[in-house]
Amino acid sequence: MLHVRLLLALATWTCAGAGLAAAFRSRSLPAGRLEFLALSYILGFGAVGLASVVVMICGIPLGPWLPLVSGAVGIALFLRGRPAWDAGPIRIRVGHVVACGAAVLIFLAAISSDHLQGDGAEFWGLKARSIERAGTFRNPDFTSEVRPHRHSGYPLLMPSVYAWIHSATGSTSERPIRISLALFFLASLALVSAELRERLPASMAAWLTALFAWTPAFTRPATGLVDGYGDYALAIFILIGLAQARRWLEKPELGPAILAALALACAGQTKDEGAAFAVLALVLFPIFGAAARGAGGAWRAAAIPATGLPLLVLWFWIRQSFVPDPEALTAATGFDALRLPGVVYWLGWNLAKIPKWSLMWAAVLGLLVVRFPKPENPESLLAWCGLGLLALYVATWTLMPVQGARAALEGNAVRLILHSVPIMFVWMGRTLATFPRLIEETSNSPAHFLGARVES
Amino acid sequence: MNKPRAVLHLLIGAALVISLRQPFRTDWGEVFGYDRTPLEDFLQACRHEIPEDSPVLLVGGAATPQAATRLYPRPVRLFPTRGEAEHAASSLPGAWIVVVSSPFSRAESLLRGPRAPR
Repeated sequence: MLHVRLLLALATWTCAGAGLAAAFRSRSLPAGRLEFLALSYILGFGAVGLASVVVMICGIPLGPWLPLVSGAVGIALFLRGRPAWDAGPIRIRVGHVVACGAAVLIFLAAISSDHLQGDGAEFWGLKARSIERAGTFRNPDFTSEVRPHRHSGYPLLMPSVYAWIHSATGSTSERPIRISLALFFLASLALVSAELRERLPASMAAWLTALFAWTPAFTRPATGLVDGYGDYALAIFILIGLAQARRWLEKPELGPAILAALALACAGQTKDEGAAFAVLALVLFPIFGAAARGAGGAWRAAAIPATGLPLLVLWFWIRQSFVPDPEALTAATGFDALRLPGVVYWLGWNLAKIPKWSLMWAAVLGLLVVRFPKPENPESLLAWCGLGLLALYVATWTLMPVQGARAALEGNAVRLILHSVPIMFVWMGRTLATFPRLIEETSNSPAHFLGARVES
Repeated sequence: MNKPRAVLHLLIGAALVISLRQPFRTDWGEVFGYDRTPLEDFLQACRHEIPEDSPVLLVGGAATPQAATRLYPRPVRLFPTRGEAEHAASSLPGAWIVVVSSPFSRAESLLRGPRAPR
């Protein structure tokens, strides 16, 4: 019964996501069914979390009405703006099967435990149970020291989704949450595959998807892809935001801009790094907008990340009343430029280790040299934002004492990879398409996978 | 297949082999066996035993915020020593003291309560 209720919960938010995808996805691309389903699942995940946060901020307790309304609105939007489906057959290649192997491993890890682990349990899981129990974050768990509550002021999108699952399943078991995160990983593979297939031949796109899926940082038990951490979800929301913003830069349709704004707003409410990224995007997006469409384009591009900022400001204001976060208060000691070389060295060293997937970084470095990402090319948005994310980390760590920064960097190396790999990998894969000899079709491979077409 | 493309496929293959090896170098037993540690069993027993509104004073080496979340929604406070917990219990009517020494040691984990104010 628990799993039936879980399926209903997942179906409800997938309906909500399908409505958003149907209404705002680019009309110029036919929708592949698997890609659309994956996008719907991830958008639904983010949208119900974001809606829950907004509702709670407005002082309204969460309840069964929210899933019902979200699902109904999603179905209505979908019926109104049903996409043109891609007519091509869905061809599963060996590379896809290998990629699914990673998803199976993650799924086995998901069902192996009844609990979230580590930080996932300590503060994300705690927040979820608290929200589910009280119907809102405005309760003593957040505002008094009734129980240990680290990082009381962290954003609430992920715990709100987990609370939704607790509420829907009627159980305090965290296994359904783990299963939903394993499905999130599988859906993200479909999205990455579609992004790559749009530029690359089918076989190469499939093998690159497999390579992405088996990124060591994803398949390590300690990474906790299904343990409730928000890092991978954050990266995928940013990836969707950037991919949709790129589409908007290529073709000025309102829909992809709205989806990009939604995805970046979700990122801002997933982790504090997402909020920092929104500020970074506020700088980078106008540069690309100006390069594509002049001054007016710059303003319109800035509006994409700016959409979620009022909510962020409101959240930062509200959380001042929460239990103080001693770790956040003691972390910063002021900027010291002398720390910069050390931090950059340790960052490079951590990224270069094999378990941290040095091969991708070597390829990224090579491509940055031979195909420098110019702002005139919308494809470069991912590279600039990926590198900007790394620069944000460097800037943050220069605020800490050297030993603290080094310990933080080593402790966060995997997290940093989780955040940056999806963005840089997709940029790297799509940039390979700029080498004509690498992508020329040598067989009668089908022109479609997941609905994306080869543009040559 | 032209030469550059063959080289690229070779590189992707090599990278994939390196990546595929990583999961086999980690301890998956730790992941799959986590729920079966004596500490988890013990905390589950505590959830059955302690009423949801009773305060819990968690003591010992395994008294971590993560262990405390397992007892949610009971309000939990952490103490390094039993003496400090017992002192705090004297002013908390109906408080339970839960001692959790190690995640892997059932014998040292024990449950006491409820404690009336002295």
